[in-house]
Amino acid sequence: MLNLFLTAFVAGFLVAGLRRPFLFVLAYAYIDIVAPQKVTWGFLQSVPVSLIAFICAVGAWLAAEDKNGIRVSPRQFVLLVLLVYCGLTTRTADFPVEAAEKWGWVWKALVFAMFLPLTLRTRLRIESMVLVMVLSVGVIVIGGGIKTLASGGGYGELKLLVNDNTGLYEGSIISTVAICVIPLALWLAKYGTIFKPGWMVWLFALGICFACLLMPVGTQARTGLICVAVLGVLMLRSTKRRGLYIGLIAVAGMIAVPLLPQSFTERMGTIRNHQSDQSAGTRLAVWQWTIEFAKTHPFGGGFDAFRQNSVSYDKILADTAGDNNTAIKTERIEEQGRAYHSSYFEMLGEQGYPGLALWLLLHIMGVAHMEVLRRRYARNPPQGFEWVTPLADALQQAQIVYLVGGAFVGIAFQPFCYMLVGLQCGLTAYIGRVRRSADVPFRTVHKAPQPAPAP
Amino acid sequence: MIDILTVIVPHALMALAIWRLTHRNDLDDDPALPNRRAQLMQRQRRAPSGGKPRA
Repeated sequence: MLNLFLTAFVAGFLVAGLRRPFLFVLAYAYIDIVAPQKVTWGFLQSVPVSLIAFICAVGAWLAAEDKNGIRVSPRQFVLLVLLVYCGLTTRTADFPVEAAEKWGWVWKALVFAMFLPLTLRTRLRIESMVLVMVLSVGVIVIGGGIKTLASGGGYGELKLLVNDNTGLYEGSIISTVAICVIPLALWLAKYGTIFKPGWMVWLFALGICFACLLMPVGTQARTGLICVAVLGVLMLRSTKRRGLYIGLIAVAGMIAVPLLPQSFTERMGTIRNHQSDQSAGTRLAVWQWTIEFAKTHPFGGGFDAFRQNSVSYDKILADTAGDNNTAIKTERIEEQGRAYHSSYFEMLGEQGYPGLALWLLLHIMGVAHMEVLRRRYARNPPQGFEWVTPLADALQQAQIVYLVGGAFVGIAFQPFCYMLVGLQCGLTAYIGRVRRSADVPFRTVHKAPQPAPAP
Repeated sequence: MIDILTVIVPHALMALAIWRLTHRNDLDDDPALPNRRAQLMQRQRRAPSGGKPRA
């Protein structure tokens, strides 16, 4: 039944694209996030739906879309350089077969991020892209949230819609991405026009946000907790009633903490005590290995270069015997072929210093561009453009959460994050077009006070 | 049961959103930008009177 439902939905999405070609772009985004071909076992698995949607989106844009006023932004150029550079490192990769496999989906994510801004010509298109991203992540987190409430979850135990631990269905990755989605869901609830603001829209948006907050609890991914803290601080900046916001956070925290599963609080406690935690110890050892590797391989080892690493470190074991007596022992841990568990080290190890520099440039420019947009329309926005500053704010918050979460998860090429980049470029380009086409200054003109009429 | 619910609710909302989008003119023509399609149609309408007579 689920197979039929998803097959009909994907088919309907693509048919709708025949009427409105931009819907092909949304269909591709949906397929890339949800991966319905993984959820089902039937027809969708035998057809390359992602590739079909991608070809339809690009083909329809080339054939039918208005390309007037399109300008390639500097960030799209950076993406192009990164794409070419990654292609070159793949040709000389240390593990050619594995590198080619990763390149098979990385190039699509990069090309789509370059292509997306060209299609986001209207405000409604930007909104619809945000909506599809939020609802697509909702497909994963709603079930995850309900299961967390029912069972409490557990590290590596929470069964999401697809149980293969890849893409967005991996615990740490979905915890980070779910927190990125929260500001976007709140923006939609406040400024949406497809689903206009109302109590039902707010109820659903708050439900999605709650489910997103439950993902770090359910997956017990420490990265998620850090992302929640970062988002909490960032939202403090944009909220008007800061006292009320801090009070609400404090009350929510006091209610939530006693209800959290013990396994969650114990695992979060290892953030401070990393020396006794094997997962954290391995990360630090792999990061150290990557720094040494980059000294001899400044242009990286190509995708999946981590497969050649071999790390060893001492894990500290504390055995408490009571009466304040604790025996400290060390255990030698040796591991091979461990993943980077960090986007920064993933870039450094796989693409070397030039790749890391390009990736950092891409994201730093994104944060800066959103800050410019945010400030430009923060005060006295032109009529009909009140949504710009909050959206720039939400996209900036999502990106900063991604950059912080990415320090502990290898998501440097996660397609969802490149959709965020594409959205940012699209918003900047759209505002640029509006400003260029405006006959009158695109700002509210403050009128000078009129002199009092003569008596 | 939970998996069915988590699939159906967001997909139903997406289907409704797609339906609404197919009926929105501002999906392709933003009201804040000059409507190039309308300008083009206006030009085409004027063309028969102003254009060169065909043989």
